[in-house]
Amino acid sequence: MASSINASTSGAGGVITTADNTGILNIQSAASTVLAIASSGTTVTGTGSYSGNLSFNSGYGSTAVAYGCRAWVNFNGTGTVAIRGSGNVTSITDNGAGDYTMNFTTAMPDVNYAPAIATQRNGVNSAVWGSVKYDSTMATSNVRIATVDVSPTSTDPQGVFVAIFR
Amino acid sequence: MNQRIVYQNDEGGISIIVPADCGLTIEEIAAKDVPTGKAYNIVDISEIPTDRTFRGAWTWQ
Repeated sequence: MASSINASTSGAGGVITTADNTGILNIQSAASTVLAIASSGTTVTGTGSYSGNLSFNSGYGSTAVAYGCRAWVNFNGTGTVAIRGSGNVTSITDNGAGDYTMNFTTAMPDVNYAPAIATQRNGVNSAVWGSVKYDSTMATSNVRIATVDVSPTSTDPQGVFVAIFR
Repeated sequence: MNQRIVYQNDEGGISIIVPADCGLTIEEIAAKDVPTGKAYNIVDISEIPTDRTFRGAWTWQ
């Protein structure tokens, strides 16, 4: 059990409080706990939204602002090109060998974001690098990625991994 | 999603949009991610070749 403060939507509505002596406090909406506070820690359930800067330590050494990944994708570039996993991405566009566009669901606030790009080699004697395509323009809605081998020739890697930080 | 969106790109080749599992329909993704004014087709994934050796020579009719 726990003490609770419930913003009720049933009956007469309003705020319903219950109390015990467990030292735990649950903040509830319509009887569902969305925030649980205890001496051992705080648990947020469901989707959270925080309009300020998010700061934490978590082994960093001090509490400092953390900057989140705003979009990411993991896809294979060989055979049937397909997305294995993604976040804030509606699609990738296969423009040709080693040439892909990552399309964001929610656009970036400007074009000064930082893409981190990695690839998976196709074999022990192959090498593939990924970069923002040299003759492309980073847009708020998408970024174009190129992958090349040592020649450098455009090459499809078996894995392409992109994370967008802003 | 076993469908793809195909359109002719400005570099003379074809571009193929691979949808993510993002909650949008293929039509909604096409409306968002196909460049404005480009004609496109929604095709089954089985119509896209898996041998990409000559990817730059692919055409769409």
